[in-house]
Amino acid sequence: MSETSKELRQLVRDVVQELAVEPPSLLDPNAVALRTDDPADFYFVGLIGGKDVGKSSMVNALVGQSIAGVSGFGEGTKSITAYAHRDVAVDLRARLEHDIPGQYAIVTHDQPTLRRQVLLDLPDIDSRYEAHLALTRKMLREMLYPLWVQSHEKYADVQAQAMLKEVAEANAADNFLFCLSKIDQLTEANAAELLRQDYAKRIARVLDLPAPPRVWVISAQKPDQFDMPQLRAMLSQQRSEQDVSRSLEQAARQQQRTLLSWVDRQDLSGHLSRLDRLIAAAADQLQDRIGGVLAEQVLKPLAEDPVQRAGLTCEVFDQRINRWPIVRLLNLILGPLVNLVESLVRGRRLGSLTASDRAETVEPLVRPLTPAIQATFVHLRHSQPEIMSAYGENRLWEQMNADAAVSDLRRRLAEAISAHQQSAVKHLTRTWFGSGLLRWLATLGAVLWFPFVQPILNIALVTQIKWVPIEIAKLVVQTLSGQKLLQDIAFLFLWFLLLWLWVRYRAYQRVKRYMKTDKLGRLDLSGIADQWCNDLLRPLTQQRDQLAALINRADAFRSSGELATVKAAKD
Amino acid sequence: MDEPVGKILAGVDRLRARLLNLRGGGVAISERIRNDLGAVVFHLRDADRHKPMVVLLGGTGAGKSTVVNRLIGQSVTQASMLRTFTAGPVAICAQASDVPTDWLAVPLVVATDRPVRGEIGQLDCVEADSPVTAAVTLIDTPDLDGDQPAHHAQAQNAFRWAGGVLFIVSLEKYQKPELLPFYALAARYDIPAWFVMNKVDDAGAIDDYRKLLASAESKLFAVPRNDSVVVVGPELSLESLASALATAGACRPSFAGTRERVKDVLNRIIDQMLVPLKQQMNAAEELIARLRVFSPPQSSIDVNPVTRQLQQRMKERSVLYLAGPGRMIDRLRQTPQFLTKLPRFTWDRLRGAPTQPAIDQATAATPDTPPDFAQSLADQLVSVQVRVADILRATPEGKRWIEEDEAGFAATHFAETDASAIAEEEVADLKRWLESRWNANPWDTRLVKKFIKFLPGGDKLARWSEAAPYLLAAVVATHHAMFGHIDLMILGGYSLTVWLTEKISNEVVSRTRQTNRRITERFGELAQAQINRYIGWIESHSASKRDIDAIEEAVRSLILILEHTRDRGAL
Repeated sequence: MSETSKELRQLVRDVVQELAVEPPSLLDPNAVALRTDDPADFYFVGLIGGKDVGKSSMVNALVGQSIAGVSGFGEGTKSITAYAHRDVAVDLRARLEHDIPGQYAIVTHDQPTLRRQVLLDLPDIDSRYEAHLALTRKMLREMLYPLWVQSHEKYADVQAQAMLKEVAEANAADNFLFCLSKIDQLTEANAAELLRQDYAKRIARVLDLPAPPRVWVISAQKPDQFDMPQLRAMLSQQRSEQDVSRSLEQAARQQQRTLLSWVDRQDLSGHLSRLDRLIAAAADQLQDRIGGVLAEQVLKPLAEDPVQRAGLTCEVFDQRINRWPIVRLLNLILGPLVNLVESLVRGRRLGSLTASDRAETVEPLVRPLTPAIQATFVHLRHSQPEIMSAYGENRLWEQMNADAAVSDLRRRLAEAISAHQQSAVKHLTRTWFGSGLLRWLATLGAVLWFPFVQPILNIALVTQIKWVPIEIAKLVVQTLSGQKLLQDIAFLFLWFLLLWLWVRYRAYQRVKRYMKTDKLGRLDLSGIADQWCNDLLRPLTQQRDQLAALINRADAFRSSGELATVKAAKD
Repeated sequence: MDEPVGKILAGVDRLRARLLNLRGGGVAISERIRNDLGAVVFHLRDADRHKPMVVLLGGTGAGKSTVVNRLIGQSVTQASMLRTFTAGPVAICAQASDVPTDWLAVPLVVATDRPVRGEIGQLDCVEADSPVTAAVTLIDTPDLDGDQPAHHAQAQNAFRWAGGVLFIVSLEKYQKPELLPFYALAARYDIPAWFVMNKVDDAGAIDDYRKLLASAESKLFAVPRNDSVVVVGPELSLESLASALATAGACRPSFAGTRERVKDVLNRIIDQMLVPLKQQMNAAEELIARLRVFSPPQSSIDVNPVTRQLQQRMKERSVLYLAGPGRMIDRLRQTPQFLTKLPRFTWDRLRGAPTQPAIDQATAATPDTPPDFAQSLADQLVSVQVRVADILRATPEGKRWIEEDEAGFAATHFAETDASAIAEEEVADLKRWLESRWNANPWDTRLVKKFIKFLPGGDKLARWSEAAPYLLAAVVATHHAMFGHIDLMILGGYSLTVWLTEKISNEVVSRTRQTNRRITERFGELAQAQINRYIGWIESHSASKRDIDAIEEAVRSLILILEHTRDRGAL
């Protein structure tokens, strides 16, 4: 089987799966479909026709000797007679033994011009003997050149036409020969011509051919008259190998055309445009029902949420204060106190937020989305029941799935905010070169300066030092006096409190300025929300993409060289 | 009419009338059944008053028209070597009145031009005098096996009305399976049957055919093919057939045969009509049962947000609130917040800047616009509809009904506005009430004011009543200092009483509850009405149990009568 055929069969299987339709009859294992991947070095020509239309007589007339039993009535031919060259007899026997064990006879000959042609006499296709039909159907799968024989009495019978139609799905009409037998029985003037035309017209109607095919009018009783001599001449010369392989190719293309026209009948583009309309309607509904809620009740409050801002301030402050020696210790005492006051005032703590805290702050905002999603998809299902198949297990019109979708949005928003805040914190806690030194000076420097260095220097510079040991002793006594120490500690406490307040104030200021200028760019929450909305429609868009891919594949076949040239040649 | 045929006819008439009444599914098939019953009535009542109607049956090309012409001795129906030529039934009779009116249930057309070809949907009639037509009326029919399905149907219909059959086969066709069931039926119905083998060119075939017909009492005749040398005996010749037909004027099916015929029609009614109808009915009943137990969701609407503001306002105006502990507790709760805001507030006032709103934004949970109740109710209605549609689509019958009658199914839906109207009306009602109450006093306050009017200095008392809790607290404090803690019980009792009275007397809450309840009730009614409409729709798509039972009863009683009838009785 060629690559094209395989791909086309795959395409058909994909379409069957995508649209959940019945596969074409050609792919049915019981179909009378010609096998085009035939490795044998011979080919079959077989006579297909009704009971007593004269198939066996015709075989005998064609061969020129009596090889098939002729009967005038009764059951007639019930097994297959094969007329083949001696050289292919072994292969042929193996083949027939495999297909129809014990129901055949082989008559051999030595004509070199018919080496690869095997002529078959077959049972009828229309009697009450069902085994006859089954046998013929089996052989039709091997037969590249069926010869359709009907008598002038039977040429309009419905069974033969139905079978012809079935066979023609998998074999090219060019490989068929049509014979009208027993024409000698008619005595009316011009009968042969009239019937030839009537039969050809019916065949053209059944096979949907542009022009009536050639019908060979024959009579086995009078083999020298009508078209018999010509037919015999044609069949006594085997077809060249190129001819056979071209016929096989044509048959394969006919199968491809059959499959392709089946694909055409599935109206993929109609499905696609319906799906497009469906997606547009769904997007509109989603915008109408969820877009507003999302923008007003989720994104807007989130963008200007004081809780987030306070959390940011807290985190910036914590990080900055931890760089200050000593003030850090003070913060350990003051921090819980401040939190306590804040929680009393506002009813909740505004400390730095962990990721789960953040998800919790988003939670009440997104909660009204669940019924909105449910309502949207209930409406969509009501107006377009076919979306059911696309959504399968993910039934967004049910609360559980809608909840899952909403918590997905919550997670995405929380993650985005969290990431944004982390980068903001990083930005806001940068330090400049030398600020560390300044911090050491302002803290440890103050601890050294105020209680110790300043008094010593004060005495050393202001009063004249006469006798050093005495002065030092005086100084130590003065400095280490309880009163002085209390004073110093009180002063230092105030000093560090001031520093603490200053750092805190700076943190507020920085966050405030940062919020105004927004050096990192705005947090793109609406982009996330849009992405999420698109994801809600993902099953539909996926289905559309798959369908579009199928259409592209079908178009590729339609415009592919092979099929096109055959069509052109036919026209 | 007399027993027992009269009884049967009455039963058939009753059955026909009941079939006419049939609604819902099965209308199409009942048409065909009524035609069959027409044939039955003809056989029982009218057949004996006419010459036997002998129908010719055979495949295309068997030579039906040719045999007719040769029997009559003149060219009455058009014979052709082209196939599927005769297109409709043709009656050949002595005079047109021989053909019963409404025979085949198609109009009778007397042909003026001869020979005729027949036409679909009518019965052509050719008047021809001959010994055969003097005794019987011959009906030429289209083929049974050609490529025109309409021809088969007409031939089959003619057989149903036939009082005699002339089977015509040819040598080529006598082994085809189409005629076999008709042989059996003719024997079963005891219809006089004649068999003609046409185009014989081998005397052995006649014997073979006789073997095939073994069961039939073989009135077999044979016609040799024009060019054949076969000679058939005089007892087989067409002439003897003509004379057999000429004496067949009294050949009638026995009553037992006709009884079988009627029984077959009745069995067909049971198999092809009643069984599928019952299946449909059972499916419909199952669906209806499922819908009846389907409980529509309660409307989960709470109009509380609409009334919250008024509730607050009423509360603040209520004398009970003013005099109760609630106000004190609220004030206490607000104190820390007020204290922390104080410096900022003072600073803003000094600068002349606009003051910040007193309540923190994050804690202001009251939304400005109440949720869209109308939309929400509409969503819930659609949700009910979708769920019902799901239930229907889950069964194959429901799915088929929806596909067949999409418009009808869509028409059973209530509009969304029906649901939203409920919410709109009730909320509008509530809002009107709110407006009328906005500046009114709560009833406790009104009562107290009325009462106070009768007291001297009542106005002042009313003003002072607001100070009651504080005064009480002061009194209790002093009392406690003097007499011990009996005061706590007094204080608690007072607070509890006032608080309970305040809760109970809250008319806004009760009005809100009332609105909620009414919305729930009305929505429940609407959902129930919607489900009832679906049930009505399902019922319209399946025949009612009463109709089916009536038909079945008529069929069964007819069968019973037939079982017990052995002969015709007198007419």
